[in-house]
Amino acid sequence: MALDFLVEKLGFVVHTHPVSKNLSGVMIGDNYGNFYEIFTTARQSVNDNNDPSLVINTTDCLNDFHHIGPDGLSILNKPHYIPEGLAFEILDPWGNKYTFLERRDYTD
Amino acid sequence: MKTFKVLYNQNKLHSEITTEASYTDQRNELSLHAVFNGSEKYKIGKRTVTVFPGNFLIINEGTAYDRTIYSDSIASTFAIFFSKRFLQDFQYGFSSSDRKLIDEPIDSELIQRSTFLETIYPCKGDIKYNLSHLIDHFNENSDDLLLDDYIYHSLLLFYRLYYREVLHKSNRLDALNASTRDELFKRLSLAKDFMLSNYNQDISLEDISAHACLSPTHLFRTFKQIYNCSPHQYLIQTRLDNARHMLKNTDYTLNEIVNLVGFTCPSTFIKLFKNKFHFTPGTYRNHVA
Repeated sequence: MALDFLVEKLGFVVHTHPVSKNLSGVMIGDNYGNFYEIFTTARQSVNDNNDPSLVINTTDCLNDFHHIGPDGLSILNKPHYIPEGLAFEILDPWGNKYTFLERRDYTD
Repeated sequence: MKTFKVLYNQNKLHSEITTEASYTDQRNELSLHAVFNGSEKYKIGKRTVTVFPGNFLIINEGTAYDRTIYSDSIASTFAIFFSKRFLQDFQYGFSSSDRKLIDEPIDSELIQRSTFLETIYPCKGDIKYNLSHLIDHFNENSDDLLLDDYIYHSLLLFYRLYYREVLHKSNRLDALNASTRDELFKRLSLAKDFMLSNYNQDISLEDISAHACLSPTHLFRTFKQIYNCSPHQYLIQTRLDNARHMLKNTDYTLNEIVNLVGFTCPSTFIKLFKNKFHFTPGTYRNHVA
């Protein structure tokens, strides 16, 4: 369902298919030539307290935030700076959380 | 090649790629000037500073300055001019939710500041990433709203940097009162700018202290309080940082780089480079750059 949402609502294109039933690594791409590898884990039950979250690695977080339409989405927070880089979070209609993360190297 | 764009809210972006250019008596809004290749020289009042890659310069609204590029290699420069209206909107609209965007204590007093210490700031970390994206989108002629998001973040990150580089560091000085501390910090900034601008020259502690109007002893002691290193160590670090940039971004030979960054002995350079970056220059160029 999360993958459907990524494809249908966020406009990603799937480039490879899940390799395992419980843990899947899926390569998706956007319209700007960027590719992301996403990993989804199956929810154990509907009462699972774990907060399901997908981390989508991006090379340009502000650009993604700018181009993501509000249709069906709840924006949890705007792009903000965290120790790993720049990130923002959205929720899909099923309560799945997506973290867009632009990892940055601060050792330079 | 020169590209200039005025956004809907009068913010301006300026990019120039050239070996030779000269502009006199410029006077603009608050502006940020970065260099990504080569160098650019600024004359502000009686002071001359040269901006190299890895740094940027802030010039306040209304300050008159001359700008010159005269370089053997192609210089690539980029500037943001923050319109007065944008700056006021930024200050007026800055809220606690905006404060959460950056993990740094920024108070409302800092945000209300419109004039800054006109000095060279490090273009590293988030602000470097941000400017790099902004230039890409500027070159791709992306829409104004996206460019504006980057300009907003550039300003936000500059305030964070100002807190770290000026307010936080000046508090380290054991000065008697605030005005003495501010004056001393300004002079130490002159010393720092002199080293960053002339890192490739044969400069001595006496040259630096004369430029900053401080005695060598006073400079040595207070510089260390601010930058946690001696002026000589700061100069060496600047040379090594510039050497690393050249190894990564140019085709200069190792010996050419040694001379260009102001070292006289290749073996000393290699030893110092390895101590700082844990790679020899050759390994860095082949495997890291």
